[in-house]
Amino acid sequence: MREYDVIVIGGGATGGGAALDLALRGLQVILVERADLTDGTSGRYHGLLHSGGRYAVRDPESARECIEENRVLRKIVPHGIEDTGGFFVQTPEDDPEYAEKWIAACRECGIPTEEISPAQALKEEPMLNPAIRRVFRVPDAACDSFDILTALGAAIQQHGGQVLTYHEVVGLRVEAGRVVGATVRSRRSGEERFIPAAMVVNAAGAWAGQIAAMAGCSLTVRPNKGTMVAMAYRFVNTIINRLHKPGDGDILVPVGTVAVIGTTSVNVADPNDTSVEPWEVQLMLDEGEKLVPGFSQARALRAWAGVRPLYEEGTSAEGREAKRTFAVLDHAARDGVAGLVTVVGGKFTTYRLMAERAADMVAAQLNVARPCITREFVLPDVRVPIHPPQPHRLGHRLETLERGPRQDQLICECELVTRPDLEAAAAAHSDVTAPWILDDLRRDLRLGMGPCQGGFCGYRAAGILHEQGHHDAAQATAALADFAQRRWKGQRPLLWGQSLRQALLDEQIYRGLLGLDRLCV
Amino acid sequence: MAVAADDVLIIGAGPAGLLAAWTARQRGARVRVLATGIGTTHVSAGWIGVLDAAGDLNAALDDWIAAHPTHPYALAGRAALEAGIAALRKVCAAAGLNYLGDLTGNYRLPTALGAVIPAALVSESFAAGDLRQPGVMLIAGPASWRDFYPELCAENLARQGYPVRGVRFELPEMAAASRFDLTPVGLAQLFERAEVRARVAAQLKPRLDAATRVGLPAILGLAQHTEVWQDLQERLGVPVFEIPTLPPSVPGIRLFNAFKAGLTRAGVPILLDMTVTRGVIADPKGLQRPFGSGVRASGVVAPNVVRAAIYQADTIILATGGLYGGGITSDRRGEMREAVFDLPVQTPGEPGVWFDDAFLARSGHAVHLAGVRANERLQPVDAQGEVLLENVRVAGRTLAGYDPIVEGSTEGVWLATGYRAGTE
Repeated sequence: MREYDVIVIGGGATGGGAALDLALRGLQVILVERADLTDGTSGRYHGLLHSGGRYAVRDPESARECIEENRVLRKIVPHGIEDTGGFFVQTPEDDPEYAEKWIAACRECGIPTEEISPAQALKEEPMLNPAIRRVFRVPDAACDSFDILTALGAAIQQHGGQVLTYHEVVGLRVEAGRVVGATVRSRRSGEERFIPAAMVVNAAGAWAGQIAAMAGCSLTVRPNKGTMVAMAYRFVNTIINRLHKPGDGDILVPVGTVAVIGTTSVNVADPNDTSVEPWEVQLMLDEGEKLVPGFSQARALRAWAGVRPLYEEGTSAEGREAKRTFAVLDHAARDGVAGLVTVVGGKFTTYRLMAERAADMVAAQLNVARPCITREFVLPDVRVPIHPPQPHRLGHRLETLERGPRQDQLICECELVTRPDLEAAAAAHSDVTAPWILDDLRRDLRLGMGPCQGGFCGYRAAGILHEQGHHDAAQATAALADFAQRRWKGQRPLLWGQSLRQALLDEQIYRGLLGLDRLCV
Repeated sequence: MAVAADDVLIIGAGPAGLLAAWTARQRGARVRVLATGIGTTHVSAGWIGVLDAAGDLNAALDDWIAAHPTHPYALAGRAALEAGIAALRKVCAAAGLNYLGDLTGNYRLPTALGAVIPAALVSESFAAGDLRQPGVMLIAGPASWRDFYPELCAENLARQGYPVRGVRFELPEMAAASRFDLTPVGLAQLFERAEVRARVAAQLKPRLDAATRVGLPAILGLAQHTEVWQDLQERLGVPVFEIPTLPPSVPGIRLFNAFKAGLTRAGVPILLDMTVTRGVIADPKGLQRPFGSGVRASGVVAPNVVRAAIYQADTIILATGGLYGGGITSDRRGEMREAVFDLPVQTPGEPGVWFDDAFLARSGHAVHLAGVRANERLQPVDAQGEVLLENVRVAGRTLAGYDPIVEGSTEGVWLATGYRAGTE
């Protein structure tokens, strides 16, 4: 059995970043994830690359980390970032005195702000509430966590590392006070196997406490759920933040063709609790109305929740009071268990820094002298590459399609996924026969993420998997049912008006025309 | 401003409204149809499902009606269903579209995914697909077409014990005819070209082997459908049947076109792109309440670019569809409203129970039960059964109290209630 230097647990941004950092230092690395990359919190956020402005007043340490990493990520993964810029807007509901505190705090943290007139802001963003009083420009950006994790996964493998998805860590083996490896269970076969390693990095986010407990270490991560709603319209081209003490539903992020509003902040007992409560959806729409009049009347596309891994060693601050900084824990010093390092807390924006600090600790313990190079290492653009590498922007995919020599059939019309795209992604997939394959292809290609939520492309994709010989009919049918159910989960909290009409059309297609329910008893 | 005064005004150009219009016209009324657009024909399979039941449907319907006294079938009555079926046959036959079958039992029909769905009547190009018949089937479709996968269909059918194979045939026009793709309608037009059919048949004939019938996606022509279908049967020497595709539904469009032709011949104007924004109650000043026995609607308002045109009628038939069609609207507060008269909508409990957690739940989603409550004359009524608008009738998916998906009653309710409303 191959022995690894390091097992990294958790296929989110932090784990992916740590695995790449260690691989770039020449270590033999395996990244283990219980589902697909970005299945956890990294793939369930609004897509804001923070300038740090949100944290400047109350949490300056996080704010400084954000602005620094914001600049780094723009260099190393330009294709995953759309440089939308951001506004902080003061609405009539916001305390006007907060603004001066905020300006001073941003200056202190090195976050550039530029006040512009409300008239200028409305010229740039005509959908904004015309009653806004003050507006500041900040270097926020929109980022695609699926793209960034795909790039990280590709880079890890290009540098000799391994990425093992759909394998859940079920145990850590401790011998003589030292973690010597992890037992993983395949989600597909249920088969378990032991992976020996010199060290283990616990980057399991909201699940980090469960992993630490497997080595007998007590670690209290407070899972804190945030709900987001994607609206079917890109109301704004700039990220909009409310200029007030951070609260619920005060961030609006244009992502692709939609706009995402977030979030709530609810402590949950179980990090797997990504349920969306009706009051959360209503709150998001009510708050959205304050930023963009008419917001709540527009079509809501999908709701989802992510679970923040809030952690502060030695404190019990909760929810929005808890700092968004992160901790790297050496369990040898902390708990007397060697060979285990936990990295927890933080933000998507600061993932690289978290990974660097965790990798520094691992490298020191393994006596590896090579320094971190991820600050300069440009991630590969492996999806629909942009040459030369430049920031992602809306319209790129359409241009590529229009410029292409062949006019390929669109399988997903909402997200412009062509048949060759789908065939290539399926062929490249390590576990194409998995029943959840269509959801993996969704993360790869954005399949089914647009207004029809898989009503048309689901059947087409299942048909192509079957036609290409990846699936037998039973597998293709099961994959289609799995995909339809996952799409339903995100639509279910938003079923009124146009989204209800869409869901009823999708039901007519799946049940009335295809009879999928009759094949899945 | 009143721009027209008819005997019967139908709001909605879906199948229930079209059948109601035809029925009322047959009885000598002056009839007009106003609609936002085409109805659910274009997303339907084109067959007529009445009830998902085994054996004799007559007996099953009697049992069903006895057990469900507020179901649209119970309101409209068995006779209306049978008369509705007869009317459909007549209208479609006049357009060369022959519907076969009756209430003695369901056809069992393959879907594009290879599931089996029951239906009481089918247009004749579907009949050879009836899985109650023995014999080997060949399912075929154009290679690399995104909307139909013959091998997937065949293999799922085979898993259920039906003798069937799936094959693809080349259709080079697909690449050239369109920049990105061809819809089912585009392919149906392609199949109206004899040389295309000749090429397709030449590819399929040598691969028939033991097959005694051939299934194709439902793209066998639109205006020249019968000729296209018969020509392919002759060329292949075996019966050919169609299988519904993803929307737009070519068989559904044929059904719509048959009604449109019949109504046009009968002198019934069908005004599309005319969204009715509200109803007009006669003598509102003399009334103390918006609805009730004795209250009558005098017409509806359909704004156009220059004015709010009022269409008056003695009888108004609401066939505006349900939550999908737009006859019932819903908002984020869990309020549902009837779109024209703002009639009360019967909802199945609190919004929290409208949807099952499982998309494919066997029991379906309770939201389908929402709609306008009606009496046996299909007049809208309140929870106590009091008539709300004397001269209004409700037909089709606007009605409360049934789940077309789970019951398999989508088209049957169109016909029964459309006919009943048209005879009032």
